[in-house]
This record gives sequence, structure tokens and C-alpha cells, in this order.
Amino acid sequence: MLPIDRNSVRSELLKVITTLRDDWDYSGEITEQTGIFQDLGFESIDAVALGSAIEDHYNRSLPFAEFLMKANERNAKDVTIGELVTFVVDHLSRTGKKP
Amino acid sequence: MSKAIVNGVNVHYQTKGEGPDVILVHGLTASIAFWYITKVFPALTEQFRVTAYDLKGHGYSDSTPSGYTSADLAGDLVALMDTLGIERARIIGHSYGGSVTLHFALLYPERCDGIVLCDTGFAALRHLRNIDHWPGWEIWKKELPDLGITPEWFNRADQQGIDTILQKSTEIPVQFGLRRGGTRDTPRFRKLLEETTLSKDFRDPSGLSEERLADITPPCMAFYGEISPFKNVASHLSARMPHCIGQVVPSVGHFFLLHAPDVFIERVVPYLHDPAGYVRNAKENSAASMPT
Repeated sequence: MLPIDRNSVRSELLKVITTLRDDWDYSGEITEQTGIFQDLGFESIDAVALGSAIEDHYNRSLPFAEFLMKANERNAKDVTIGELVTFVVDHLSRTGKKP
Repeated sequence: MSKAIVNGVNVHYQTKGEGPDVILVHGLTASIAFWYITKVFPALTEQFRVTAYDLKGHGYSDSTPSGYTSADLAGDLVALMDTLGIERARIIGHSYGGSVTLHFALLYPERCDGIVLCDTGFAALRHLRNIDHWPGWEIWKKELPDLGITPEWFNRADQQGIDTILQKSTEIPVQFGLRRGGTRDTPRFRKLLEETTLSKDFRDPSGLSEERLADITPPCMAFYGEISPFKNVASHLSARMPHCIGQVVPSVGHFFLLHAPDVFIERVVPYLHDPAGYVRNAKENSAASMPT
């Protein structure tokens, strides 16, 4: 099982993101403040695919649709890498609870 | 990421939840993401096994140069169901996804427990459209007069005119969702417009004529926004399709799912549990169906 501390999750998440799109050529530094839409140029469907890729990576079902829906409801301008890390850490830490 | 080979094309899909099968069909230039941000996917997975997929040429599904009529895409849907082992389903379609859904109900009624249409205009019912309610007038109010585009022009628009509008639409920012304010001029959108027959195919009734509406037997719930250009389609369908009830959602337009998702979910869930029974009861008790 992969470790679920914040640094490890951030590192795994960046690996997942860079393998998501074969035409992806973002070369800047990615920090917790980086936004996946405004900075990385994601389309909404890329975020959906990212959710699936995270689930595949950790072999766990995660409520990613609810995560994106709530971001949309609060009129978020973007979803940051830091928010994604928090989401993944929170849900991976909840043992035995399936969404 | 889950992909299925459908008529020789890789199709991206997601399935979650348990219960009767529900399939979600998005509209032109959208993707599975539409069902995420409108709440429909997460809300329905609490009670149903929900499958959402990217139409051919959209999202993470592969594209082909042609094959985008509602008949073609209904054929893709039945092939997807075959591949996934879904014998029968409730199917929900938004906008052009509703054309695919209704065409599916006409061609494959035995695979369909019931359908839900969300503000679908239909190529064969273009005469019912109220172009004054098209959101583009407000969005492009500065540009359209310079291009000589008026409601009268729009009603006469030929293929070249439609292509002009679609090209123009790449210049305006995304209006809603997590990318609002961002560009619509993405490689995916460009490819659809420039390398496929989509812009021609979506205007082709491809056999889904006004006359065939009476032949559609599966139960149908047809939702339309009160200020949508397609509002009049609701009463038209419910008068012609024997098992269709029309619903008008107050104070919202074509994208009512974004602005009033809770109204939709509250009304559609009881229908999805028993589409035939719900429509029968609504038809028997006119108070249960909302007149349009």
C-alpha cells in the first residue's frame, strides 16, 4: 500500500498528472498553489480523468464527482494541487469507508 | 480510466453506484464532466448504477471523421450497452444527447425502461424553436450585429451560417463550470469543428421525424427550461408521444441542470424508480403532470 502522508501523496499525484495526457507539455514548477485549470490548462474532462487515474493509482473508489461538484458550487475559480492533495489524504485516511 | 471498444472506436466511460441501470448522454461539445458539475452523476449514484460516457469525438473518447447523426450515436449507445453487458437501462440525455436518447428509444425500445430528455431541440422540430431566447444574443451582443446576424438570419441559416456561429463561439469564454472565464478554443473543440462532420450531422434528423414521434413506446419525461428556446417542445412531445409527460422548470433556460439541479433531481428520481408506473399515474391524474 502506498503511504498516505501529505508529501508522498503530492509526489504520487504529480506522477499521475504527468502521465494523464500524452500531449501535455507544461514545464513550469508545480506547487500546492498551482491551479489545474488556469495554470495547467486542464479542461473539465481532464479533471474527471484525473479522478479516475487517482482511483486507479490507489486502487480505491473516491468521491471525486462530489469534490468537483462542491468546488463548482462554491464558485471556485480553480482547483489547486493543494486541495487535491487534501482530498486524497482525507479519503485515503478513512479506513473501511467506501463512498 | 475505463474504455470500451464501441463500433471500432475507444469510448471513455465511468460506472458507479448500485441499482437499476441509468445511462447519461451529454450534449454537443460537452463530456462526462457535465454530469459531475450538474450534480446529476453523484446524486443518482446513491440509488442507481450510473454509467456516463463521452460521445464519440468528445472528452477522452476517440473521434472518427463522420458518424455523428443521432441515429449513428444511438447505434453507438446500444453497442456500448452490449459491450458493458447492460441489457436495459433508463437513459437521460441533455441537449443533443436527448436527440440521441429519443432516437435510441425509437430504434431500440426493448433496451429501454424509460428516457429523460433535458432541453432537447431536435432537428425535425426546429420550427418550434424560439430563437429570441437563444443565450447567444446576450453573450455576443456586441459582435453579432456587426456580422449581420439577427434572429431572422438565424432562422434561415444554412450550413455555412451554422459553421460561422460555431467558429465564432470559440472566441467567447466558457460561461459556466470550473473553467468559466477560460477559453473555449481548445484542441478538442477545434478538431470537432474542423475535422469531423458533426456540425452538419447534428442538423440531420436521420430518421427521427416528427411523424415517428407517435411510434416511440418507452416512457418519457421531457424537461424544458421556462426561458429556453426549446420550451415549446415539451408540450409538443407530450401531445404526440403516448407515454411522454412534459415538465417545465421555472425561471431557467437551456442549461437548467446547472442552475436548478435540485429541482431536476427531486422530480426525476421517483420517475427513474418506475418510469412506466410514474407516467401512467401522471397521465391518469393530470394534476400530477405539470401543464406546459
